[in-house]
Amino acid sequence: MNRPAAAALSEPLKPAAYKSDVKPVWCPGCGDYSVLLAMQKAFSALALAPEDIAVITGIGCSSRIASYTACYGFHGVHGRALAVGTGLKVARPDLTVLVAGGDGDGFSIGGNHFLHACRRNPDITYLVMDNHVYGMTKGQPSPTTEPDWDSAIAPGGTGIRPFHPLAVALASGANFVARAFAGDPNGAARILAEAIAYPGFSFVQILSPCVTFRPEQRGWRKQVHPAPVESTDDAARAARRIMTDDDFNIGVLYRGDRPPFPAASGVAERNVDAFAGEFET
Amino acid sequence: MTAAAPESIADIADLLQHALVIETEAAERYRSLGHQMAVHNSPHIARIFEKMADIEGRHAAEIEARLRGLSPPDRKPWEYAWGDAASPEAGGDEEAHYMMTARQALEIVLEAEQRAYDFYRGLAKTVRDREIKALVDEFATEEKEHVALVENLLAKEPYTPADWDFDPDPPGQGD
Repeated sequence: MNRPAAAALSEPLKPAAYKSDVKPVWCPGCGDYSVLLAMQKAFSALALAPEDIAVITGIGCSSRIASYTACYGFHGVHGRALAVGTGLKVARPDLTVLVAGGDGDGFSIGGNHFLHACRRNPDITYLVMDNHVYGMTKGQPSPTTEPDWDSAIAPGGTGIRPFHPLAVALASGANFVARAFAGDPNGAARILAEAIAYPGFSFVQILSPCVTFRPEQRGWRKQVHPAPVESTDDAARAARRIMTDDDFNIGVLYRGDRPPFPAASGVAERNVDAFAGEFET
Repeated sequence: MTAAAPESIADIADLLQHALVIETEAAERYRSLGHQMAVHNSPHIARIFEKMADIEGRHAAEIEARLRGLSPPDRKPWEYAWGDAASPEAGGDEEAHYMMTARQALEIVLEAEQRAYDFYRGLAKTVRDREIKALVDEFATEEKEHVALVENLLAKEPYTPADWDFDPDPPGQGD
């Protein structure tokens, strides 16, 4: 039997209650600190109990974020966080499932899972901390890196057209598409809270500067701006807006109405000892 | 990144709640910056931020005590005067650097204290209620004192050399 959906807390916890005692090891100045804060604020604003939240991540700097929360967490296999998150939500629909990672993890190694999670439309939120670079492995170009970004490993740039995550999410069937900026933690929290509360697959690209390998991204603060138009439920209109924006529009860009992928209808809980016994010879 | 003054502060409790969030988030921010610098083997810079976190934490506790028994309006994090941006003494963390000097650390602190002072000064111009205005002025005076304190500390620090971020073993791939 599936458990009923978790109820909101009668008295919201402070954002600090969602942070674990594990000290982050991100570089000083990394945007992911603000993303962690935005997550804490969103959970607090929604009055979610930490034990009713599961944060599922892949591999990379940003994927460390699960261990910095006081929620349930699973630091998974590179690019496969969405598969784990989808399975968890189907088996335990009572949980709030937030999948998080970076642009390399989500759009390259996990690119296929991204397409099919959008298509399947499980009721989960996918947060990608996009810094246009592989930071953990010392600065290789990622799928969202600009084609002319010059670096020691890609002199003169890759010359390859960047992946457009919002357009791909929309075309693949995501039910909620938004872009946020780590430098505005309250705005990011507002968008995240709305994404979590929205039914179906919610995708949030959050621009999160990598000050170590892309120090010029400190300038993003001056480039981001609120999206000049309201969000739409018309996919064709959303597509036009997304394909013509400057990559720095911040806000909710699309709210769809597709029904979420249904939860499992069978038994979703088993006795651990009995389950383990099946592996004994 | 200056927070706009709120269109309307409902009452004393609302103002105290704004002040509490400013001080609490400042303390958390400085604590976080302190951890970041400690993790990156810069204990003397970490101590600057930890000291600031202690000061802001004490202020937060004082304001919390004044709020006891009052009922401030229930606001989501993005419903405060600063909206989607960070509160006046938070934000701007991308300016941190693993090799920053004490002077640069104090400059980060000074900017935050100045933003808080500007916030209260802006608010003072819009508030009509005498009791609320008196409290706004009190907070503005405190922040002005903080600005002066940090400016004094800065005056004792040598200027940051041009090669302050030279790292013989940089994190990049030789570029």
